[in-house]
Amino acid sequence: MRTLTPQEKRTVLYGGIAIGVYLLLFGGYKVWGSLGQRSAAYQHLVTDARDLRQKLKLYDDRVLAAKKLMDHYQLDPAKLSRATVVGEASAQIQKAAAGSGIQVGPVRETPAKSSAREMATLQFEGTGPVPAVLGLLKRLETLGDPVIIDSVQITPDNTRPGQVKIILTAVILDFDQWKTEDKPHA
Amino acid sequence: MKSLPLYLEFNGCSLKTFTENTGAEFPLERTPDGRLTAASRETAAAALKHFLKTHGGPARSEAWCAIDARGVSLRRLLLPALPGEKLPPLVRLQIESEFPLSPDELAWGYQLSGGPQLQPDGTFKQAVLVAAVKQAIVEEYAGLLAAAGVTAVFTLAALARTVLCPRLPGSYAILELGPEQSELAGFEAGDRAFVRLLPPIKSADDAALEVLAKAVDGLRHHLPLYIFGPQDLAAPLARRLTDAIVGDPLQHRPGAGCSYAILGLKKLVEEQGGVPLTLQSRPVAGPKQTASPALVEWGVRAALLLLAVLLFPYLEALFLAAPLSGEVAAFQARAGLLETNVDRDLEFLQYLKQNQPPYLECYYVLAKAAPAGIHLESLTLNRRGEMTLRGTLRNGDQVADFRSKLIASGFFASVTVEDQTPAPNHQQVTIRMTGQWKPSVQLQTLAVGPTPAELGGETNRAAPAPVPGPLKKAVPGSSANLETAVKAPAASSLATNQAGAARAVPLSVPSTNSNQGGTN
Repeated sequence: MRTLTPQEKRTVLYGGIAIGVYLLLFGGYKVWGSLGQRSAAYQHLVTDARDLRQKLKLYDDRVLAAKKLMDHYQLDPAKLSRATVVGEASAQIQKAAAGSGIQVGPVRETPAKSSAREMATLQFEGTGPVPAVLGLLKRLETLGDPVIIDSVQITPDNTRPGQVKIILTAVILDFDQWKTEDKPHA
Repeated sequence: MKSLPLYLEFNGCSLKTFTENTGAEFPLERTPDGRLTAASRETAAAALKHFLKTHGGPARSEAWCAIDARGVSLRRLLLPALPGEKLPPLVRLQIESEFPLSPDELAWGYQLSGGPQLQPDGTFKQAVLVAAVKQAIVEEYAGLLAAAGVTAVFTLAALARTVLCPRLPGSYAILELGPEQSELAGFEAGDRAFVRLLPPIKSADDAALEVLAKAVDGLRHHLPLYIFGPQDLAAPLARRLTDAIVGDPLQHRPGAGCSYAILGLKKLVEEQGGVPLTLQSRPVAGPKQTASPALVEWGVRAALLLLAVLLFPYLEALFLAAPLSGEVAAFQARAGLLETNVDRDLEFLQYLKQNQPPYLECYYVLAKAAPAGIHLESLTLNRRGEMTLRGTLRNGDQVADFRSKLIASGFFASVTVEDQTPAPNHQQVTIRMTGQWKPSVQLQTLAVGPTPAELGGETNRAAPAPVPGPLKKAVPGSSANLETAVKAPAASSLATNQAGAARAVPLSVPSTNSNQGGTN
């Protein structure tokens, strides 16, 4: 193989340097760009995480509010069973009435319209003294069932002096309708 | 801290190095043409490097190196007297014309020899002493030193020795005796200068002294001679020569690694801050140590730190993106769970709360507003806020008063007496009254319930009839208050136990035993 002249060697050297510099710049630009993209994506992720943390922080208040209401009503919506809630509510109302000193009369159950977020309507009749009636009204809030008192009618019990007759209509809410909603409304 | 100067001397067979009070001598081997062998160069450089490392490191602020007369040409030139800055080009031109090699091929230097002197032609001339040696020789020495990390200033050993003589006449010669070589330099005032290598002298036998004496006499041209060397050699030689004295009256004893030239260099540097004649050579490539290692180290650290600062955001993205992505996914899953569970449950519970009608509050308001003697026949409330009441009052005034109080309570948005009919005995009035209470939002701002005084009176009275638990912790306006307010006269057992019975017992439930007639 022919020996290169100094001029040829110099040319080869300059060419090598030029190619090396080009590769260095080109590769560096690519690497720098890739790192920049990764950095931008990471920053985006950090922003997402920060937003998410703020969002979750808001839920602290909501959880507290929900817990307070659950404690007040002694009601855990997650534990409610659609199959048994009506029967349980009826039994609880009668039990509360009996516990309040009310003599339980007829109880009628009517299916309600699902469009009204109601599962059933219970009509309860009983007889007892005024304090017992008022106590029952208060206790109905804390039965642990999703019950709303639709109407109350108090009339004197003509057969029992000093006692009143109460006709109470209670609505049992269809909690499943909240579960199936697409968007939260809180 | 400024390091101590380093002094070196190259002669034919060794390199001497000296710093502070310590010195070393490294042997040199030369090829027949006088060049250093490669092995010798490397060995000497490594040895010097080791010596310097053990004596404070190679980084020296000053290194002064004397070279022997090998290949050196020493001449005195007479040049036109010119200012200092114009003299070097003139010296260079003179070298070009008088020396066999061009100035570029030489390492050369000059020093002024006296001041300007008036010449017979009326011009002033300046005598300069020029020393020149092949560039290759100095470069070879400089390369060896550079390999050891030393950059030195080169000068002529013969000139360095002259400062050891106490009083020099205008013309003189200096001889240094050595076991490997002897060196003679002569300086004639206003005339020539020379430097020559002479055979070595190892012992003071007559034959060797005679040979050397003849050689010196032949070269010195009757110049006064100063002899440097071991006393046992210098003194017998001085006796054989006329006008020759031992040149070192202080009897310096150069130790290991030291020489008369190094002592002269040391004296020059200490007294004059440098040497008067410097052999200029081209810079030699070698292991450069322009900055101290500590500085280089700190520079590297600073550069690394800067690089780390610049790359940190990218490295953070590179290494933390994956874990953070996992955490974000977990957070999103949790957020989804919260959205589906907490939001739904909270909405359901809030709906439940908002749709609980204030029946007990309504009873309380009715009890407070009802006039004495009212007979209740029917009271109906529903969650739409509608109230329907049927009962009997004594007269129309009581009806009007009752309605006014209900409206004044702020609980009802409207109260209507739909029917008011006098009883057949004209002693009573039968009424049918309807009302609509205000929306729950407005009722929340209304304080409906017993006053603290009413509650206090209640706590002081006798124990009431058994009341279920939740009633005990009733909120204002709840059933506990109504219990005291809403009384049925027929329920006498209850009425006697309630403080509210004496205070506000307006609502009575007629019984079948009542004298005031039946219902309706």
